[in-house]
Amino acid sequence: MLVVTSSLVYLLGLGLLAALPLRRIGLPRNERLNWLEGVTARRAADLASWLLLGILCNFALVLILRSLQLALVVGTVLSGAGLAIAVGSWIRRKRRSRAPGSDATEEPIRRRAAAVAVLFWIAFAFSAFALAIPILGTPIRAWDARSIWFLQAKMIYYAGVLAPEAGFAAVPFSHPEYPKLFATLAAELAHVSGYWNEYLPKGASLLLMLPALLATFSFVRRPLAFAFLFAMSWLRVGSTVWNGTVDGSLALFGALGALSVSRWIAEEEPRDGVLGVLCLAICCALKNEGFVLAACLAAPLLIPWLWRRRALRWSLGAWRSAYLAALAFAPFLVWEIQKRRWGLHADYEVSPDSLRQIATRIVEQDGLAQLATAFGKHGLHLAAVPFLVALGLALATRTRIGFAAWALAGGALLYAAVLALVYLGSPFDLAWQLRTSAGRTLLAPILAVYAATFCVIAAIEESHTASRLRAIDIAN
Amino acid sequence: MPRSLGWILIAALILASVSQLERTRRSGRKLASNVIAIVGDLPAVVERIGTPRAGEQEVLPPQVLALAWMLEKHDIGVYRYSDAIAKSPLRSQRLVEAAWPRRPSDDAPYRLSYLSEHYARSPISPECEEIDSLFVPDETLGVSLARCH
Repeated sequence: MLVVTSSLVYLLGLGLLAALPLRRIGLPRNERLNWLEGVTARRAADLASWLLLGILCNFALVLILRSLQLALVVGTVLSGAGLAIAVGSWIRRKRRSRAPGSDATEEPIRRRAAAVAVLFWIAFAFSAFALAIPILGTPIRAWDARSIWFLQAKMIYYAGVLAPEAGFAAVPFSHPEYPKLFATLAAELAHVSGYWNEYLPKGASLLLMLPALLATFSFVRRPLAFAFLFAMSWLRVGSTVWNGTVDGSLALFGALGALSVSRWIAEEEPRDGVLGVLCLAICCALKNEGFVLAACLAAPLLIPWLWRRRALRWSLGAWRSAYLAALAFAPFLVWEIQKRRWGLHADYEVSPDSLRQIATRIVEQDGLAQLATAFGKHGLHLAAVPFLVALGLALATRTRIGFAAWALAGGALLYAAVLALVYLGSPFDLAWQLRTSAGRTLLAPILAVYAATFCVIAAIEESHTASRLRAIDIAN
Repeated sequence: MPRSLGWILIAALILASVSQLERTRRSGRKLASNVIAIVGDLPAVVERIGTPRAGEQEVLPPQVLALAWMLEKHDIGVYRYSDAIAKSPLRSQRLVEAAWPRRPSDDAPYRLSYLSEHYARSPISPECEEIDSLFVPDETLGVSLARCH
């Protein structure tokens, strides 16, 4: 337990140091923020961003230095520096804010804000506890967790390096070409503890899921929409976030990343852009399909926005944006280069044969029928029901829905279409592939549809609140 | 816009979410039962987390435990396994995971197999010499380790 807690502090320190050039990004431009947003949700978004930056920097260090021991020593020094700088600046800020006499009229507002913050963090702590218990309290049982993620982690742990010597190529069933962000985290936990067992390395899931939980809590501003997003997304991914597989994490980071990007576009709050980019970067470093998911969800949001603005205007500033993008996507790019250098290949790569296979399966076999059955069985179409109901309500109440909802729904459809093509083009038995993996791979488009539903509910809530405020104004 | 819109919205969304109820309910129930069971046994769980190799007995099939134990006992770094073991991914994949850092290799001199394979092809193939065997409790298939030339 101590190892997992100290790892969190380590990652936070690394993230704080990496985030230094991103600081002073200005106050939010949207001043109509309510208490939940103003007091707590932004802190949750910042904390999530720092932890995600820490996770990405930690992976980059291991990729560059190769040795777990060396990377952890260098990382600890950097993390210590990050924590020291953060604590120093926090003390300076506290001293400065204490100096002038405080306004007595602000006191009740402060008290209310503090009460909301306490409630917020209690709810978060309860959720984190409910997540930590099954993660750390159950052994590694899930097939993919054992055969892929924790076997790779065991290889890295016993070799002490993230390098070909670890023996990835010796076990083809472990998908040696998969990105090693998650496996590296698990191997580091075992390395720091000095032993391997079937429980402790699963702490990597907790280290990865806490920032996702924080990112979810950063959407608390519209309570009803938040309740929908929280309950539907986290219960839908279910055991895939605590059994040691990464499909649930991938789906959550995809949806949360796209939602953060959409909030950034709507409100031009730089911290949302940072959080969105980092969530999508984590997707790329988690699984091979993470890059495709990030592209499918981000493109429908960003392309129309750029087209409308006719120019790239970054609320973060050009240099900071470049720094963020380099930091966030470096691990993914370095791994793509390394795996080619090390000769690690996927058991299935897209080629002209895949196109022939797709055509054969559609024309001669019942490929499309099998796909429709499997996608239906795992509830892809049912995920659209709350979306359509929310749309109907928006229509009935004449609420204007932002384009983010349509973009997210479009992104979900696009990714589902890509998944369908991948299944149809696969050289393996289609029925077996669908039976063993569709339930997990479909989580990503399903959660993207929930994210789209969140946008619609939030728009209705916002319009309802605005009309109530107008009514109060008129009454006064 | 009607003042009761909030309630209408909540009711409509709950109804819509019912379409997802089966999966979310199953997942929620699983989470709740896990949390209750683990919290009730928290000291033991904490001890397991801090114990090297804890959990192997719980998750690995008995035969896999026996095969991995034989490799460890004879300090064998590289091994191969019979076709019969390879045919069952439950045993072959679990064996590779459990035995790591001992690696599988087609050229390895040490070969793992089921005892029943030997009975079927009695006597044992001439190029191999059995160096250890183990009957696995509650399993019909015992396991064997042989050195092949």
